[in-house]
Amino acid sequence: MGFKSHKLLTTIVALVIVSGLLFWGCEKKTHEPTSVVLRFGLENEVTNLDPIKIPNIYALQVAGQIYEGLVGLDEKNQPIPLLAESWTNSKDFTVWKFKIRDGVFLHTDSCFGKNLTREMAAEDVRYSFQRMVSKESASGFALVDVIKGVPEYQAGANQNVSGLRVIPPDTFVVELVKPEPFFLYRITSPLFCVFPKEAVDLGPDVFGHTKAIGTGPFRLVRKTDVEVGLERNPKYWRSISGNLKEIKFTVIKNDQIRLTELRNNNIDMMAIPLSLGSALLEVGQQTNDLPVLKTPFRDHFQIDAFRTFNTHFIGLNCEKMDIHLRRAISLATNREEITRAVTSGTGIATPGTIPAGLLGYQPPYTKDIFNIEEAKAELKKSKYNPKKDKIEFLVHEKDNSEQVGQILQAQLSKIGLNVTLKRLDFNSVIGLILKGDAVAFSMFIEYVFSAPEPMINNLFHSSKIPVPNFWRYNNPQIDKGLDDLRKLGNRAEANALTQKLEKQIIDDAPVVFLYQLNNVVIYKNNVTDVAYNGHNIPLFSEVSMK
Amino acid sequence: MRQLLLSALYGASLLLGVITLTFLLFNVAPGDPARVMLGPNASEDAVQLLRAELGTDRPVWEQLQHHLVRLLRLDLGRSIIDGRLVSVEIINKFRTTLTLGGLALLIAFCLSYILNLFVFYLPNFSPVLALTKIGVITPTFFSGVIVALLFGIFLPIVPLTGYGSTESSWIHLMLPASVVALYPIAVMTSIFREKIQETLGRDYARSAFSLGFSRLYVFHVTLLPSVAVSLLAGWVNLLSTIFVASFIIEVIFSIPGVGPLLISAIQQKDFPVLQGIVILNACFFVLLNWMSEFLFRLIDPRIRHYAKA
Repeated sequence: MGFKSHKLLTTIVALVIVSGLLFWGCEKKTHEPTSVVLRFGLENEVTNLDPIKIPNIYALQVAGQIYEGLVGLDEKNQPIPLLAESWTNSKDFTVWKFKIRDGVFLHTDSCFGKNLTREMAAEDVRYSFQRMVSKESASGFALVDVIKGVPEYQAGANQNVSGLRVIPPDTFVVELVKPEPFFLYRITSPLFCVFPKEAVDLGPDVFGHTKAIGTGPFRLVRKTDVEVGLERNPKYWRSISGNLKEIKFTVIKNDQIRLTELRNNNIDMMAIPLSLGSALLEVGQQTNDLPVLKTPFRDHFQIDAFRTFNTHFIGLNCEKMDIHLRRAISLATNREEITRAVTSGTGIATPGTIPAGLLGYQPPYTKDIFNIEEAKAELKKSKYNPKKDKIEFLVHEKDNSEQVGQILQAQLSKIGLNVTLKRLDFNSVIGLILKGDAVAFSMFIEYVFSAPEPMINNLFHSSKIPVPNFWRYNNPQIDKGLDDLRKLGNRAEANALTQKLEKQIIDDAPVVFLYQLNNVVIYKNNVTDVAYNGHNIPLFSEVSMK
Repeated sequence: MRQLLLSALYGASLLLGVITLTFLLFNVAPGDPARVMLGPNASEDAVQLLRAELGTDRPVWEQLQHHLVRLLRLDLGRSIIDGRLVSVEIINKFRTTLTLGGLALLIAFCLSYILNLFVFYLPNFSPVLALTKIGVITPTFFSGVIVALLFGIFLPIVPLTGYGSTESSWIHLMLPASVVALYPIAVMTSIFREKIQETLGRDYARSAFSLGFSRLYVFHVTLLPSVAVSLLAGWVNLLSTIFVASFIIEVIFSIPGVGPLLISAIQQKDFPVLQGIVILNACFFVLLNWMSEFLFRLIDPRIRHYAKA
């Protein structure tokens, strides 16, 4: 080997060392600690912040910081007045009047002209609600058949929704099709929020993408596909107890990499997905109803679990299964076992759907109703023939559906039920359910309502077939009971009747409810006062960082 | 010239085939875009209204005709999920994928060249080349996660994520690009080595050595031009692999490229976006093939000669 070759090799080695040092230098720069900027790791992109096109819970969690509705929920899931200072309702609960708060300013933006902002008015509320019930709105389902005049508006017969109007100077009126003492609890989610027409007029490429203008405690300052930056709204109408100046939502889709970034101090907080449960939490251990973090994480991080409005279940097509077969499935399902296997201790096994304690509600069953002997007896009464009948159970890619299907298959085989699993994508499963072709399917729902009555009414009234009464459950007794709920203004009476109805529904088993999932969040020790409300919205305005 | 025009015509017909096939496949696949847009809770009436507005309730041939006319006007439409212009969205994402793929290509090119030069100087070290085979035996989705965890936990000297954020720079792409480059490094190092060995036995190579030229001179002036066409052909063939690997790596490292967009478009039945990605990819590869043919002719006089004959 000559002198030249030595020179070449030395040059290569030197280049490798220099580039290594360069990487090191650059890396140090990105690790600089920031005091009042909270970096939150999100598991999916925030594609759209237009309130009528919010695609998923991740976007809603961001939108919940930017926008506000008439009313909201605190961390104890009690309704709190936000943009509505106060409200009244007619005796028959069909007309609701909201007095709009004075002195609330919209986030500053050039769309407002020279002044950069203006005061939010009752007309903004009317405009927002009207846009929410338009035919392209994804959040309209909760209001379209509730507010007067929506079908005519959607069909283009009327330019405005007759059931939404303003009484000058500051009153917004909603007129309903049917009485609803629980109307307030329909609109506590940030999906039903207020935004200005000027922002919407910026066009679909701007509003929801580069701009999102509301009245919330934080305002949008930047949005890319992997990052959403919010900063504290200096003109916010109420005082904020937290000290966060900025929130940076960083999208890291891979669960393992997101956890690594948390350990590497590149994010401060993230929700624990089911796939990381066994890596982070001591299985089977709980302290004060909280899962316990594994040893290496305990020194640097804390966790909290928040009860949110969701329900995970198996839907059974009532038109294709008799009541005894459905009951047999419900009684043979060991919910505790499924919940343990699927949620790593972050779920609560329950045969019902309404969260216990919500507005004082007590569920009809406090424990699992699993009973093999009763299940066998019910199966005998059914038309099911174990020699020739098979139950096709649809599973999909979301929410550990396949794992639930496999466990259920094993559990039901113990009473002699043949279950075959069919794997499809989530949208195809929905398609089959809506056509009435699905026999049994795994599903979950995040409720946008915050009271027991709308939750149960929406899912089980026969007028809601096929959506969202996907199980085609038609029980005149239940329909009558649900209609009676519309007349009860007293909370205790409403809870008692709801409990009776839920018991009947569980016994009829159009749906086998399995568990409700807690939102478990892990965050660094210097983060304090972390809170979420039942809509799974983090209350970042209360969070502080030391 | 005639040959190149013929290839261009072939490319255009291929493109038309791809567009029609994608459209038809998408239409027979289960799922309803209007239902996806409004969610499972929307009433059937609301979904029907939206179907009429999107035109998805019309006969398939009518939809195809409308679709082709729109494409002729270079209008890719808007995403049915977030309402953004598909052309803008895809071009932005494609730029990121091109950057990642380009960086991977550069890394693979440099490493395969350096390794071959190294082994050419020190033939005793040739077993080192076997290490590059790791890139062939490990699938990208596996090596991506392993490399990320390795660098994230044990060797945190390069950032794992953050490309596309306000503080991002090319440094954020180094690790993902290195993973994408693993397979091309293995393949190209092997092709490079094989061709160099083959050429070394030729008379003109032996003559160059006997005339006293340095190894550096022989490698670059005598051997490299002879193997250039084979290497170029190898690189062109590898480009599709690099792009597919980039799509996978983009998902793992949260890079806002075509990969994540493609997956979400498939999951959410966002046909305009899906069609846009397919068309852009088809255009890219048709153009690439056309250019490589042109380059082959430019580099190798034998190809020009045969084409004329």
